[in-house]
Amino acid sequence: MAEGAGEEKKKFSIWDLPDVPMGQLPPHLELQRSRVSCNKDAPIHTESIQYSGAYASMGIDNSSRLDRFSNNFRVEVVRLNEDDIEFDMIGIDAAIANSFRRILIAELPTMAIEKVLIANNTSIIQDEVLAHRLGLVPIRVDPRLFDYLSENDQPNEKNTIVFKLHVQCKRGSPRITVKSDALKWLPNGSELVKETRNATSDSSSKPEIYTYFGCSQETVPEFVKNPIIPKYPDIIIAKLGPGQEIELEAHAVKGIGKTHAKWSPVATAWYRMLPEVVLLEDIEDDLAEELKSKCPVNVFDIEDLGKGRRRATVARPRACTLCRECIRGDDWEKRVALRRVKDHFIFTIESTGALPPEVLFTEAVKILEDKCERVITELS
Amino acid sequence: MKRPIFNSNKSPRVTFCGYSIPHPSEARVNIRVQTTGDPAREVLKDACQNLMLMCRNVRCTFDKAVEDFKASNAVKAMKIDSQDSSGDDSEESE
Repeated sequence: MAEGAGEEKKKFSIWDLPDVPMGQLPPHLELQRSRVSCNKDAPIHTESIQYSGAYASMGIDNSSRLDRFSNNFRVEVVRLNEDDIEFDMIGIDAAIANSFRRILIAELPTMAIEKVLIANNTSIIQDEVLAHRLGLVPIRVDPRLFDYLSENDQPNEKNTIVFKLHVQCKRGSPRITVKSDALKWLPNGSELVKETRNATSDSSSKPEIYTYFGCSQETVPEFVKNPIIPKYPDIIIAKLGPGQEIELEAHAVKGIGKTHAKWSPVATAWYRMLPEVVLLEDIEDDLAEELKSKCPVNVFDIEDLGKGRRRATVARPRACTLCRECIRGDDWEKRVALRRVKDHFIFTIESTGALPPEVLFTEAVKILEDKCERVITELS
Repeated sequence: MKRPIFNSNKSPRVTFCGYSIPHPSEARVNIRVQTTGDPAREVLKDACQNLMLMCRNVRCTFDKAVEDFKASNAVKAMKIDSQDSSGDDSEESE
């Protein structure tokens, strides 16, 4: 509309200009709102625009409404194994994604060995070191079947799992390595007896034991099919020379990662934002070859335009690790733009074996819901 | 967690909201919500409610996506099996 631009005295409304789309942000603002621009020195536009009235003058409503969320939110699973999962969450805010990651690492309960009753340890591994190592061994059992054990409770079959380890290296035989498959599950509870200091106790009084199992844990149907064992049978716990012996009982209880990292159900869980690589201008021939060879993960590809001319294209932006090799050197920043999409998260969860990874994520979401409920009930 | 804070920020009834943790050793969080006229408690409760509904939505979408993936993988595995078995007909099977 040349007349509108030429006549300055005539007042015109900004909405009359043809290139301002109604109800949408202009492209540079949309870029600022939805992408993190990763420049050579540092990323910019990293914060998410929280304020609901941020774009009020443009007529855009920035408030988040549940219906818009449920329409835009998508999950796509890329890879799913027994031990790990990689999936994309699209349309979610960074704060929620981070909450899920933190809950996965620190607040999902698991079973891990806590108390170790050592009857005999003549190996060179000290008692406390041995106990520490036993605590870190992941146990293949569903923690939802157990309750927490607090200080006032008695250890019973609902909150404790008892393992026994008895290995001996006979004199004259070579050194042996004690692996985690030497831990035997005792479904009937502890076999050790507490020492009574009372000199007047006679043989007719019942000896005190460490756990009070009402019934054998083997009667629970889940454990009939899958007996409770450490997830990996080849974890080295100790090494014994000839004549050395280890005899101990280990009690496993339920806990969360916040107290001690041995109770964390994930090897780790992390997310990254979807990388977006954009070529700002056409890159041809030699420059294209140079660009393709620069990238260590082969994000770029060459396509033939015919007549011997080649052009660079972005083939695998998802593989980009943001090493910034492609914008190093003179002038490359003008040709290649590295960005990240702010609401597209590539989540990876690696489980240590207690629960399958997709169940872990569902449990983490449930825990966040429970926390919200608790806040709501406290507020009322 | 702090998500209800950001959730309430997005609501058009809120002019200001923020949180602070006075000392990391004690588990205490101070939350401040300032609204345009509505009682702040209600706004915070609504934000928590919103977050709960969002979480349920996330859970449903995730479960569905995992099921679809497992189903499509099972189909793929069957296709590969049938291709292999038709290819092995000519060879000696072990």
